[in-house]
Amino acid sequence: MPNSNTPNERFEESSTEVQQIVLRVLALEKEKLSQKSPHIKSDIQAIIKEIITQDED
Amino acid sequence: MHNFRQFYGTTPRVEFSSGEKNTTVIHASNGGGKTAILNALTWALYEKHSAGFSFPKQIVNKRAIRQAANGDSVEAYVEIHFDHDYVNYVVKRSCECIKSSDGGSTAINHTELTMLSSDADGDWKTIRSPRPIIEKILPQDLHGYFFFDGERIEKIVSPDRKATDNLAKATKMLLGVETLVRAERHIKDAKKVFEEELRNIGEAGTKDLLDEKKQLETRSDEIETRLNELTANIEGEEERKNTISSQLRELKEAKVLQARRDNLIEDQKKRQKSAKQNLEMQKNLISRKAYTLFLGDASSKFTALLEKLEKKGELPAGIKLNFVDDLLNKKRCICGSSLSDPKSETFKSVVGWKERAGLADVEAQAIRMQGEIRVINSEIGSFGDQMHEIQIKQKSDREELADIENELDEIRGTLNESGQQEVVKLEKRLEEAEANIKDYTREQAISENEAQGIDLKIIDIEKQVAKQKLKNSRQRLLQRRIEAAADSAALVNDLRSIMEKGMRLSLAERIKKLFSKISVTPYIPELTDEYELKLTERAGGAKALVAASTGESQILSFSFIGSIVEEAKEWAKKQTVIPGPSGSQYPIVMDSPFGSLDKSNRRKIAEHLNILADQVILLLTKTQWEGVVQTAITPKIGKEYVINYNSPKEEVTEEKIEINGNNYNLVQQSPDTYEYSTIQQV
Repeated sequence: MPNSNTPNERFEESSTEVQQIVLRVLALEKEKLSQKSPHIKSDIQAIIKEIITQDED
Repeated sequence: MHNFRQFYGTTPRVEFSSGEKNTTVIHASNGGGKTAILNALTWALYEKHSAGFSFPKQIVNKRAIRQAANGDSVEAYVEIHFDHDYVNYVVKRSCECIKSSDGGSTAINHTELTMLSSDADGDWKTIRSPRPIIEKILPQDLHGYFFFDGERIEKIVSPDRKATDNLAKATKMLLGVETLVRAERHIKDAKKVFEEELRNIGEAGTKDLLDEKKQLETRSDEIETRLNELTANIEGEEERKNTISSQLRELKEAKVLQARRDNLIEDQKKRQKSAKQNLEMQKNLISRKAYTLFLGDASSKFTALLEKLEKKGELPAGIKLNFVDDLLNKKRCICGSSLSDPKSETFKSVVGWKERAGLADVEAQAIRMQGEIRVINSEIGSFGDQMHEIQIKQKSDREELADIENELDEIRGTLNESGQQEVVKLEKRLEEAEANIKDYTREQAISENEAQGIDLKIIDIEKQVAKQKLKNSRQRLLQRRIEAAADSAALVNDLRSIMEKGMRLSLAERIKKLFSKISVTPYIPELTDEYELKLTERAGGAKALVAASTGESQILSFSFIGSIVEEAKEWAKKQTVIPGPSGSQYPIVMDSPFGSLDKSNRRKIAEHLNILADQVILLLTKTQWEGVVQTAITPKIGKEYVINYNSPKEEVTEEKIEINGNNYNLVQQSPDTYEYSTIQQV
């Protein structure tokens, strides 16, 4: 169980990159509710690739 | 509706009111088409019908079939227009039947569902997979609450385990949790693709770790499949047990013993639950207070030390350091002697007090610690007492369970030796079912244990992969993407769990408030972790379960759905980062909601119906309407319709209803030989 009490608190505990990924994935999920998993999987990969572009911080 | 059940041809559009006067009343006679309207909605959305809907396969209107030429097909459809989350939708379900040459008809089993949507641009688009969209807007498992059949409520308030599971799932779906479940799954899928890439280009160490992880994941999938099978098997065997038990209840020779066995099994379940709770209490007590047991020695040492200081006269300190310093600064003692000469006896004597005054700090600490030690000492005692109390309860549970098991064995023995072939046969099947359940449950526990072990190993491997020193920058980039995906999936998982917990607690509170507002009884509704609705009362300080009457069950059901609607709205208002439910309005359609209620409950419910949802649609007969219901609801009506039933009977008793000074026909003689209904707006 997470220690945070609210979704916002837990969200703030994450890195900016992870926050960006999650926000975009959730928006995608909401938009493409009926889409089959393989398509969403590649869309999510694209989001992660777009946000994590450097091999090191 | 078009040719749907009693409704011949295309009916006028029936609009449901919203806003301040959010109630729509549809008046009808018994058999006039009330239930058909409720079912038009559930059929169109889910292809489902309520328990009170007779001949569910006969959808197409009989008059339309009779008027068609032989060999022609006749279509029936229901079209629903609504908006949700700022998008307009049209759902249409249709079916047809073919009129045969002998004048009969053959229904085509397949129904056609189409769904269109139009957002801000105003263009209508066809939705290719309508089901998941409908499911998200108004989940099918909640349809019995949103589309309420007042004469068949028992299934709603006393659902079985599977139904409560579905209810929990559906409620979470409506409140937006499903999006998070999907998101986590899809992020994990995407992560696997990155891992596969890294495995292909990675160094030997990383490759080995990822190979091992893949194998573990394959095994984990196998276990999950098997666990699902086991759950289904257990449910199947439980059903089999229920069927056999009810067959035994029917047999004269086994009736009494089976009834006794049913009671014993019920007691056994209660005792097992109590044993489980006691074990949890014991665990909690140990983790909160068991440490005090080890503090006994330390506490005695502290007391001895304190006593020693007191004996030596070092405690209490008696004189404050500041006071002595002050005398020395002023160079005069309280007796008047001068303290100017540091070599004088008077000076040395006063300075000597400084050392004793130094223990004042120790004294302050000692006083504080004495208080704490007192608490610890009392905890040591109370830990033992509470532990003892739990152990007594555990002993009583164990003894009771052993007695129950003995009696169950005796009943089994008696039935097996009864000599009645049918009883012996059923008893044998019952034993088989029980043995199977035992085997499946054991396998379930072993598999769950293995799955947990695998999960831990996977987490460990993931950590090792993240720590691998990779030389190549492409490998390092993949490593970072894998890590980011893992963190994102963990974040989504945590968000879901926080959201689910918060929603259930808040839903439970809302149900309590709504129930107490509507019901005259002092009972308190509860929503368990498993989404089971219960009514309880406080009897002499203790909480006890209440067997809810039909009226209370109905109020409970209304409170539940009203709370879901309210909860959905509140979540939509909250500015959280996660997608909650839509802020859309929800309807409740109720067929004969006052049927099984007494006058006071009827009035109470009627007065509060409009607060349950944004749109309340009531389907009522004249008797259900007139009186307290009419008085309470009339000020809240936004739209009103009458279903006019045309009976082909020769001597039909006409029935009218007076609304706003005008008479409307509820039942009248059909102008031809056909039975059909029409709808008229008031």
